[in-house]
Amino acid sequence: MNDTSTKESYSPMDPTLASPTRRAVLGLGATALSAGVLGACSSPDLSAVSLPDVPASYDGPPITLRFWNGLTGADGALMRDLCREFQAEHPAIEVEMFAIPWSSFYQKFPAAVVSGLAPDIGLMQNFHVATNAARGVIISLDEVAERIGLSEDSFSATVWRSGMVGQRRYSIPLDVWPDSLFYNRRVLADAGLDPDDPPQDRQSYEDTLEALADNNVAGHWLPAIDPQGVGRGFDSVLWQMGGELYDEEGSRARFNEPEGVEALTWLVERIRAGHSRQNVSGGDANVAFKNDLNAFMWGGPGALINDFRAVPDLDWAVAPLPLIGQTPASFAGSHQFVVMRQRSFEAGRLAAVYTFLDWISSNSLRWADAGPVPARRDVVESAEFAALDAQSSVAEALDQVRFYPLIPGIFDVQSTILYPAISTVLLQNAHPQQALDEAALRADHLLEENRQKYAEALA
Amino acid sequence: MSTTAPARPTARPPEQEVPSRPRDARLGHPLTPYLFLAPFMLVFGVFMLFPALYGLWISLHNWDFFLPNRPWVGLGNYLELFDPTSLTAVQFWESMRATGLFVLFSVPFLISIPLGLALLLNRNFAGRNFFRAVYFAPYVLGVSVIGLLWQYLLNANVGLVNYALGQLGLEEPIAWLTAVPWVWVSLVGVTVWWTLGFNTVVYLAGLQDIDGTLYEAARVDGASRRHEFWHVTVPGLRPVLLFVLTITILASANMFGQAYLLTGGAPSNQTRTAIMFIAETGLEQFRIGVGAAMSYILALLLIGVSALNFLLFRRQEMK
Repeated sequence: MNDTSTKESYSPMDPTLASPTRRAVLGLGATALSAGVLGACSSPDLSAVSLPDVPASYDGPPITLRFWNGLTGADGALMRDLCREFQAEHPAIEVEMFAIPWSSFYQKFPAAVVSGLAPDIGLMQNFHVATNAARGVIISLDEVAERIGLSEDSFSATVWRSGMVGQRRYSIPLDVWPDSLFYNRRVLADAGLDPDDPPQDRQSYEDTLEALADNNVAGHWLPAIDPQGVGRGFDSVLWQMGGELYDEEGSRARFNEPEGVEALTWLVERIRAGHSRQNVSGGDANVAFKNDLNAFMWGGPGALINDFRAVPDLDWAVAPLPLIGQTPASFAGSHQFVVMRQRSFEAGRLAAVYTFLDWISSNSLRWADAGPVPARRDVVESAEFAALDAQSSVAEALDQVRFYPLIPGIFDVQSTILYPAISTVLLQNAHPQQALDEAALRADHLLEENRQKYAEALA
Repeated sequence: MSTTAPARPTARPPEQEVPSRPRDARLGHPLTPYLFLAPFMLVFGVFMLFPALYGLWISLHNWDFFLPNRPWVGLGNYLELFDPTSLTAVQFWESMRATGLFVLFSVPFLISIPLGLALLLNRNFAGRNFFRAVYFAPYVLGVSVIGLLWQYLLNANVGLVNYALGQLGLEEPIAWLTAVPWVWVSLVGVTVWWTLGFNTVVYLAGLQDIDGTLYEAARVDGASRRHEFWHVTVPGLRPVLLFVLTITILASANMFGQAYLLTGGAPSNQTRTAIMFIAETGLEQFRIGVGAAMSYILALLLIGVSALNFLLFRRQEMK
């Protein structure tokens, strides 16, 4: 039986649940029915949000804020700690955090907003902000930023601007996670290479990989199949080659231009040259790295720093990505706070939300423990941050971070069109030019459809 | 599911009912059966009928759940799917091809292996119940469990299967999850291992329903084992076979979890099944209108295949 829904429907009810009364069941059924019908039929409200006058601080009765995010790993535990610390300082405000895997987070929270069950605050990856702004499920935060006294001066410019959609701000950056070069020092040392001097340019990177190959080590396991990471290396190299993924309006794909082809050719060459194993999927590179079979991994500090730190005896360090092209660039993402649209906003509740945003932004140094680099410049420049070895190495790349363009629907184009094409090439089933051309055609189609779809919402 | 008919109520007591009682009082109020059906109909209506009709309505629009503007496009979504120059159509039919291939590869195994197993498990031997449980056991696992399990086992570079094959002297690691034809071997193999228990149990119930005297009669007439199988077992199992075939085709055509978790559609979307593509279009890109149109095309095809199934079996029976 391949249909899981059928199976799940047979699962017996949890006997530990108190059996509900008949009235409750009927009531629940009626509510679900009406909510379902109404929720399904009514179209969402995109009208301008008018916010009440919000007092400077929250001084009402105890209140619980609902905070949704996709931090399901060790970072989630740290965020929960931060929420508790916040509550210790603000006893009237409790922050109840729900962590939902990112992929379902972006499906569930818009649905929650549309059906009137919106959480108060959310944390999302910056490349989803424009999409959700266009959907009208998050509200503009221009005023909020002003109130808590955040401005471009306090952030690195690229990160701060990545919260903007058109002329308006929709999110407050918490952190930034540029893809970085993680290297296994023991593997390098065993091959007679200097474990303290990771290669930082194309020539030395290729030489290092060649030296490793001579020692029968595939030095850079390049995932050919990976829902998250397969294309990020390509993005970085493409930008380094001086290419662009899309044109400025986000209406046309440019990744099939010579720079993109060159980038992808370089990547697939690594596999052909034996610098990477073939058919590497998802977590293999990581497993190999932890078992001293792989020297280099390109990845985000948010996931990897915590992950590697938890492995005893793993001798690793991190540096910015090597410069394969001419212009330094690293793919990066950023977690950003958003405020969900409510059917109606209460002044007190908003005051509590602002208080939380203010507090967590000021205390983002603690968040660096989870791996990413805090978005606030004062935090990155602090002595405490400098004491975090790995994180501060990653932060060296802050000037070269690149984000996806801030257009609605962009992540779908990347994840459902471009990345599968990269995957096809890395599995050596197509030539770079051919695969990228085909993907560009599809991407143009979806970009155009997205543009029409979201045009009205953004107007 | 058992094919045994519920025991018929024994013949009514011969004495006459109290004559004065009107007929419908004995049968109850005419609405009674409908009241008994009502709870199911409510669930059916809310979770099946309404969504199905509503989906049809959605498929006629350029629909995004989260946007207020949902322009009417009539049959536009359907026409796009039959337009050979449309990229969506090309991908959709690619995914339909993947689904078709999976059905083609998996159904014969899912029909024949459980039948053989059921024949074995229907014999008398010590530990029979233990083996019945063993073969059924994987079926109780969820798709995410088997997905994760086999992903570890079949991984080309760090998986246990390739490690074992390597120990046996196989030099080149097999790309179980990333190259044709291995992806199909993996998907079909995992699915057969996972779900064969269900069909086996259905066959077993069917076998136990065949009248033992038929076998005795056949033996008296000098039938061999092979004759018994073809002339007693198979005809006796016909209704069960029809059920198993239909349900297996439908289940295989709805394959999603295994490919989603194991191959992610790799290589080059060759194992991206129709359901996967529909989910991607509708629930990731939120192009729900097109996604709904695809679902209806798939549903119509499946209805067609099932109807054909019934027709073929009926013609056989008429012969």
